[in-house]
Formats: sequence, structure tokens, C-alpha cells
Amino acid sequence: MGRAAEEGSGLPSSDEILVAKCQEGDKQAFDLLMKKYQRRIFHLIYRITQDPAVVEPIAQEVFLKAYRSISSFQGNSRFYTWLYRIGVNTSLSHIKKASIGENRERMIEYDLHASTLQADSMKTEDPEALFMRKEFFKHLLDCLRRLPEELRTAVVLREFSGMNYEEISEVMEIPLGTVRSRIFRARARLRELLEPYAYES
Amino acid sequence: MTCKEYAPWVSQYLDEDLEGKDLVAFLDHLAGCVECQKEMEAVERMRGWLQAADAHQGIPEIRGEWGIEDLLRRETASEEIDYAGAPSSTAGRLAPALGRKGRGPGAWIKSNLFPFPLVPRQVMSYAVPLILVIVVATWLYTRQTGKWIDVSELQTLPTATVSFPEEGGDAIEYYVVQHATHQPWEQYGDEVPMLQLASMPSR
Repeated sequence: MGRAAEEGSGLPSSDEILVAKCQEGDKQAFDLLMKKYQRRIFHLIYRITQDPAVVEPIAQEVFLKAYRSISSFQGNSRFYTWLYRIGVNTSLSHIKKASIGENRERMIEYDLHASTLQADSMKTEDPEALFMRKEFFKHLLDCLRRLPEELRTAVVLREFSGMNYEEISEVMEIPLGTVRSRIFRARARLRELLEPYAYES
Repeated sequence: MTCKEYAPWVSQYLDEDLEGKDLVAFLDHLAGCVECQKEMEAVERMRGWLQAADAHQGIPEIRGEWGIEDLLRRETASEEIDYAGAPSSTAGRLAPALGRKGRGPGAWIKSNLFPFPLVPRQVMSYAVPLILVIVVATWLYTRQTGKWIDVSELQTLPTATVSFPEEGGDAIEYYVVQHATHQPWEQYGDEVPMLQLASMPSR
């Protein structure tokens, strides 16, 4: 995400400048970082938890954790992969807590928040095709939810957050080879779950 | 290498993760292998579905102020709501130390029974047990005497008295009237139906 060019020139990236200011106690610098990554963190949390009701509280927790531990951020990894790591871990620990005794059915509320990024093509489709498509998406996201956590997180980071393997390895703190194998396994598993349904539709 | 062995490379190739000799070898194979081309199309199609579903689902709206000062203030405010007026019990005092969000019984009683910090702490620590005692006593009393019946009507029915000395203190006498099936009350033994009990008329 724009780091390669900055690395080549030896100049610090905008994130690095802002992180350094935060470490000196500049709250406005942290606000700028938060504004930059807020939507991406919301997106990440929603895709991992699949529960719109918990996105905001978890995001709040993520940024507070980041703010409190930014003084210990060494710059060994990039700021956004460090922030994503906090996001992934906080979301997963929420899922663990929620799965004990909570009703998981309410987690799927696709239609409630579907308005913000709805594809243009869907507006011109006839109602039946639109319904079929919605049902298919529902099924697809349900299949994604049924993947084991480690596979799901890898797919979310790759497909929805657009990270490359190296970035995923930083966020999930796993070797590059494990990232490759998880993404391959996740895709194979998703295809198994999806293809019969896709051909039926 | 067989197509099965190339399968993971398809994924890596689509993610721009193959390079050097591996990439050259894979491209050579791919050019002449219909199976691997189909595999590649299938993976790519599935990725397309995922991205379309992602766009369809969108993200929840971001509400309210999102500066770090606001987050810190909101966090402090939620802690204050948790502890204001908490009972002066050990559990209540320990709650802040045990967890940031105060999951102790003090916080629970406060947030569920007294949602506003209007009731002074001392009053509340007496009020809660007192209310509980009144509720339990009322329930026990009505449970035992069952449905109230007009006492004057009882005088005309075949009745007997029964006492409950185990209630502590003096025995309380109750009328036991005949059951609806006209069975004499003695046949019920200890299990006198609740409907048959009425309080003793004043003499």
C-alpha cells in the first residue's frame, strides 16, 4: 500500500510520520490515522464477525487498544498490518465469547446494511433474478462463515481487504507458506460448498 | 508434475505470488493443460462471487464522533455508569479491580434494578433485601392459603380445621372444605388441595 516507493526513496511513509507523532503524545495524529483506517477496520470486523451490531463496539475497542499500545509499536511491521492484527484478534476473541451460549442465528442480517455499496447492476435487474442473486450471496456468505476461523480470516484478508500474502503473513503472524496453504484450502473448501448451488441457480 | 500438484499454484498464480522458474514452469504447463485452465477459471469465478457478495453486503454505517478523545470519553462514561451507586458490598468494591467493564454483581444490580444514579447507595443496600423479603413472603403466604373463599359460605359446608405448626411460632388454623369430587378431606392425607383452604374466620 504505497510503501515500496517510499522504502526505495528511504523517506518515511505518512503512517510512519503520524505514528512517530502519536508516540510523542499527539492525539490529532492518531485521529488522522483513525480516519484513514476506520472504514477498512469496520469492513474487516464485519466480514469476520458477520454481525453488524458488534462492528462499532469492536472497532472502538480496536482503536483504543491501538492508541494505548502505540508507544510500544517498534515499526518492525507496517502500521496498517499491526492495526489489522489487533482488528483480527479482537474480532476472533469476540466470536469465541459470543459463540458460548449466544444465538448465532442473528448474526446473519445481510439485507439490513446492504445499501451502502450495492452494485449498480442490481438496480436494473428484474425482481426474480435479484432475489436469486440475493439468495446466492446469502448462501455464499453462510459458506464463508462455516469455514474454520484460520481459513476464513485468510480469505477475508485476501479477497475483501485486498492484502497480498506477505501482508497476510504479518497480520496473522504465520509463515508465508502457511498463508499459501490456507488460502488454497479455503478456496477449495468454498468451491466444494458452492458449486452445486451455483449450477442449480 | 501432475495437475493435482499444480492445483495450489493456480491459486498462487492468480494472487501474483508465483515468480521465477516456478512461474515459467507453471505457464508452460498451463498453456497445454485444459484441466488446469478450467481449474483457474473456477477459482477466478468463485473469487468474483465473493467480491460481488462483499459489495452487496456493504458495511454498517459509522455513527457519531470518532476522535480518540471521544472514544476515551465514551469509555470513561460507560465505566461511570457501571459503578455509580454500586452497593457497598465486597463484590461491589472489587468489581472495578476485577474487570474494566465491571461484570460483578454490584454492577448487575445497579444497571438492572437502578438504572439512574438517583438512589443513594445506603438506601439501595437496604431497599434491595427488603423488597426481596416482601416479595418472597407475599408469595409464600398466598401459595399456602390458595384461593380466598368467602368465609361466610364455609359455615354451610362440611368443614374441618387443619394447622401448620411447622411454619414456626403458633399453629395457624385453616378451614379445609370438601373437594369438588365430594371426597372427605381426610382421604387426601398431607396433600390437601390448595383450593380447599381458607383462613379461619374471626371469632
